[in-house]
Order: sequence, then structure tokens, then C-alpha cells
Amino acid sequence: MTKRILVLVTVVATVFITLYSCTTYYFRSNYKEVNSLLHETANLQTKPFLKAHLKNGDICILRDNWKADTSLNTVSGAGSKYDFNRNLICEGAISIPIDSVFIFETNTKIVNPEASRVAALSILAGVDVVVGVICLTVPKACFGSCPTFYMNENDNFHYADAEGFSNAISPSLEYADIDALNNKPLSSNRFSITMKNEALETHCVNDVKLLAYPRQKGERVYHSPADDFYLCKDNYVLSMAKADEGNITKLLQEIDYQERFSLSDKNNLSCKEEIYLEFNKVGNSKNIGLVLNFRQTLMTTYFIYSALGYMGDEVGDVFAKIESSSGIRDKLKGGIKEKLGNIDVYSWNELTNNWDFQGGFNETGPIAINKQILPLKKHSPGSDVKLKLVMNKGLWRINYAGLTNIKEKVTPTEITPNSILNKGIPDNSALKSIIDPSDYLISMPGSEYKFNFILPGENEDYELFLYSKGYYLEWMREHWIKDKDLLKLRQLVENPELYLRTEAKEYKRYETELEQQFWDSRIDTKTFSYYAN
Amino acid sequence: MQTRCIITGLMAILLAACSVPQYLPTADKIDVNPYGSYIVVNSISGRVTDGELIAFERNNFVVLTTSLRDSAKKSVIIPTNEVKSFTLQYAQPKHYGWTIPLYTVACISHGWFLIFSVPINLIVTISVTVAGENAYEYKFRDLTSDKNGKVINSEQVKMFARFPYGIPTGIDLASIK
Repeated sequence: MTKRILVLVTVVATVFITLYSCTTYYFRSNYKEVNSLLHETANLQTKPFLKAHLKNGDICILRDNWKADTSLNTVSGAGSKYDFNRNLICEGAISIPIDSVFIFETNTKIVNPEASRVAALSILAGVDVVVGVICLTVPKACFGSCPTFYMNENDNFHYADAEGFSNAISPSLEYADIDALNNKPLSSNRFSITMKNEALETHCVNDVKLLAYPRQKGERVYHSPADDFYLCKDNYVLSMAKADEGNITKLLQEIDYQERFSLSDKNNLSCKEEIYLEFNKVGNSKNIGLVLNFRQTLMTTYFIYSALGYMGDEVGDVFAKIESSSGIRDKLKGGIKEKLGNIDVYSWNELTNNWDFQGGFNETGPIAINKQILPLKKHSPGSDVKLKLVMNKGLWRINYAGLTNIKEKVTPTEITPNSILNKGIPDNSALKSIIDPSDYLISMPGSEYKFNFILPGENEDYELFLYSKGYYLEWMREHWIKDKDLLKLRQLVENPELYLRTEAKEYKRYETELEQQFWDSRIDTKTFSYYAN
Repeated sequence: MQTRCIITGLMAILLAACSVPQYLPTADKIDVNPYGSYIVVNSISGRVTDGELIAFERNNFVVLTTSLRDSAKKSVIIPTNEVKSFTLQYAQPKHYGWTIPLYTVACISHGWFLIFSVPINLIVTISVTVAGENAYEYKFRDLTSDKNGKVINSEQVKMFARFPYGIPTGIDLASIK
């Protein structure tokens, strides 16, 4: 990464410096003969100022209305005369005998010499302002998110392996989150994962542990939205996928950084869309499950930050109400989240010629990719499987869709950390907080904790899942206070349907730019799964 | 160490911006300026002479220097065979040094994008600052006439002297101020 940045910086610097160093102006001309002066300046639209260097060292600078009289042998015009030490002798109408002139000098005007530099700085300032405004509007896009977990501690949030409890924005909304780590085969029974606080938030982490289940070669264990775990074997590659924009098979076939996503509806943010999936020649179409790799766009992040903005300087009061009123909590848990809905899965039933509802995927957060399975309850006989995904437009990014055979439902082993390093130094207090169910590990912006685990089997391979429980407190930003709008907040909570319609225009204003800026900024093209199908 | 080097470099750019003689005109006034250009001559012996270019005659630079001790002006003659290089400045440069810290600090609001925006901002602002400082000057290579860039193009250099045709007859070098 550093190497790439250095190369980029060097290339851009070279281009800039080369461009600028090439700018050399040649603008001055000297004439010993008045005829050559007249000849050279005759066709100029704007007559240049004329400097007449006199033989005695004086200089006359005539404005652009000068004229040469070859019969009187003089050059005359309005201007200034200086002595050899450049003290002003006189100003006004001057007539100079040509015989007294040693040399004439003209200078071509350098037109807008600073234009390119001012343009470069203006463009840069414009880009800086746009990025700054975007970051202030949706800080999560620029400043990270609720606890992010990394198997490789040097990765940045573009490669986060998991993000914990994204919805838990207050103590009473605390919940436990399970994320598949999609780990490659293990060569040791020691495993570490690093938790980072990359946001302006206080993270209160109640628990972090691993869920591990042994696997044989060719086997995978998947986590379902209902928090069940399934041991699976055999994968079936997607044969065809279609959405409104056309064929999207290539985007969903591989586990890579090619994601399928759409932009929200311009009139209604809760507008739905459909994706049709086809799997041909599924060898064993009994006990199959749909494996989906997905995450959210920045839409929910926008809602969270908008809500905090609407609270303005009453953010503390509103959160106190959330803490003390279960009614408000229920509304928050339902409300807008319910309106936006899940990624609902339907399978085609050839016997009834109907789409049978199978269940849905849902996980909040735009950063880490969720890898989950949905067991398919019913499907048509035969080797072809047709599925339909129904989901909110502009809310989901889907990376992969595949089928797999479920061998059995399993229960993974829970493994608590045996040590925690705080920026490289063992932190027993942090370990105690994580192990004690009534205690919390408080992680502040910039904090990094490395959790070390010892897996039970020395030479055994495990499918690993991360279990994290807690909540986080978003730091109020000064510039949000001016966005205070309690009526809008009420609408968001009480009447999300109306809110999603009225807010559509505002959201669309920055959606494309923000999404593009955020995700195009990735700096490597490494695949984030060891398992490329 | 790296940070110290960067800070030293930036300080050098900012300080360099302040050391320009006031008699130089702005770019839009070069055609009405009665003075010669500002020249910095590096001699083979390592001596650096700077001041107004008074004349270039008989393979000698005549430079009106200002003494640091008493602010008195004095003309110095430097034969071209003693010259290693020179830089000639004919107008006041535009100073953009202030953009370097300002634009860099502005990147704080970019969060993660800082890793991209800081280098880009530094490249652009430093390039613009350096270009602004060097915009109105000729380097040695610009005013030499042979392929190797060794022989000074006297006709070009003369044009930027106070007396392009040489010291006027009857004027004592010591009387030039």
C-alpha cells in the first residue's frame, strides 16, 4: 500500500514539476535601429511600452501611444524619464532625438502568468471542500465505524473482517453480533484478532469471543440470520442473475470486490427492487442453502447521523428518553428499520407456480461484508433452482450468491480470549473486563486491542466466527447542532414511511458522489476471501 | 528524522519567498521597470554574488550588490570564466507558501481519505509554491547558447541589465546606485 502511494506521489510530483518547470517566458526584444523597431511592432494589435536607453545612461519609458518620426529623427510620446541612477527626471510628453538613443527595448505582456497556478489551487480547494463536506455529512464514511475487527491488524477499514453491534447506539440497545470471519485453513492453534476504534465514538464492549467449529477439507460452516450454524459441503455456482439493469451474473458469481448495488429511488427511499437468481444442474437439490455475501450501502449511516443532527443540543435528553422508555426503544427497533426491510428470499415453486417466501438476510453496517446462509425450506423437484431477492433499492451491496448443501446443523465451541494486548502491551484489566459479564471494556477513538485465543485442537482446522456484544456512544459534532429539527426526528421515528419519501431528494443529493468516493478509494485489489468459490 | 527534513524543506521554501529585492517589478509591470533584473551569480570559487544586473560587457557581469554591513551599494565585476552558474530574476515572484500548511491542515477533515489527500495536497501546493517562486526567472541553461549549456548567450543576458548596451561612457562605476 505504502509503495503504491509512493509511486503515485512520485508520478504526480514529476508531472507537476515538469509542467511548471517548462514555463519560461521570452518577452523582451532590443532594437538598435529605429526602422527595425517600427517594422517589428507595426503589426502588433496592442502597441507595447517602449523603453529608450539613452547613450548617457538615462532611460525614457514611453506609454503605448509613442510614435517615431523618421523625418525629424525623433521618437515622442507620453512617459517618464529617469537618470542613470533611475531617479525620476520628468514625466509627461517627451521627445527623444533618435541619435541620443543607444538601444530600444520592448516587452510583450505576459498574459495571466498566474492562471495555471491559481487554477491548480482552486481545483484542489474545490476537491478538498467537497471531500470535507462529505466527511462532515457522513463522518462514518471517512472516520470509520463502530468496533471494527481485523485478522490482519495492519489492514484499514476497507478490509475489515467484522464490525460489531452497529445498531447499538445506546446502552439499552445493546446486543450481541456474530460475524463469519471466513478464515483460511489454520496452521496453528493460536489465533488473534484486532479490534479498532476508528470513529469519534466511545465503544463499550461487554464481550468478545470466538465461535469455532472444526471442519474437514471441502467443508464450510455458515452462520444463518437466525444465529444457527450449518456444516456444508459442495458449492453450486450461480448460472444467471438478472436485475433491473440487466445481466449481473458476473458481479455475483465470484467472491471479489465486484459488488452489485443500485441507487435509491429519487421519490421514495423505501422503494423495493428484485433480483432473479438461477442455479442450473444442482447435483443434490435437497437440503440446500443460499449463501449470500452482503453489506449495506451508506444509507443507514445517513439516517443515524441525520437523527443525531435532528436531536441537536437535546441529544442528551433524547437518549435519556430512549434509555428510560421501552416504547421508544421498540419504535426504534421497528420503525425505519422495518420499513427498509431485509433482503427477502423467495424460491420458485413449479408445482404451484408461485414464489415461496424463504426468509431474509439483514445486518446493519456498511463496512464489513456479512457471509451468511439461509436454508431453503421448499423448492421444486429437479436440478434447477430459481430464487428471487426482494430488497430496498439503494440499501444493499451484494458481492456473492451461491448454493451449498447443508450436511447438518452444528453448535460451535465458544472460546474466550486468553490475553489482550493494548497497542502491543498485555492489558490484564481489559481481559478482566471482557471475561466479567458485568464489566465493559471502554475503547476510545484510536484504541486498538489485540485479542489472542488458543483453539482447542493443536492440528485441527476450524471455521471461525466472531461474537461481539456491547454498545457505542456516538460523539456529538458541533456542526450537527445547527441541524436540530425535532419535528423531523419525530417523523423519522413515528412515521418512517413519510420520512423516507420526504428525505429522498436530500439523500439523492450526495448519494452517488459519496458512495463512489468511499469505495473507489480502496487501494488494493486483493480478494478478501481465501475461498474463491 | 523524516518529519524534521520535511519541516526544514518547507521552512526553506517559506523563507526563500521573503528574500526578493523590492526594486523588482510585479509581472504586469516588467515593461515599465527602469532597473535591471536581479541576478545571483555562483562563482567557481564558491562565492555567491547577488544584486541588480547593471551590465554585461566584455564577458563580465557587472552587479550592483548591497553590503550587509552598511547597506551601501557597490558594483562588482565578475568575469564569466569565474562563473559556475547564475540565476536571473526579472519580476517579483508570487508567494504561495501559505498554501502548504493551510491545505495540509484542511485535510484533517478528510478522515481516512487523509492518506490520499495529504500527499496530493502537498504535491500540488509545494509544486505551485516552487513554480511561483521560480516563475519569473531564467536559469543558467535558459541563457546559454551552446549544446552543452556552457557558453553564456550574451545578447540574451544583456537585455536584462540596467544598461543593455554596457556602462555608458563617462559614468563612473562607483557612482551607480
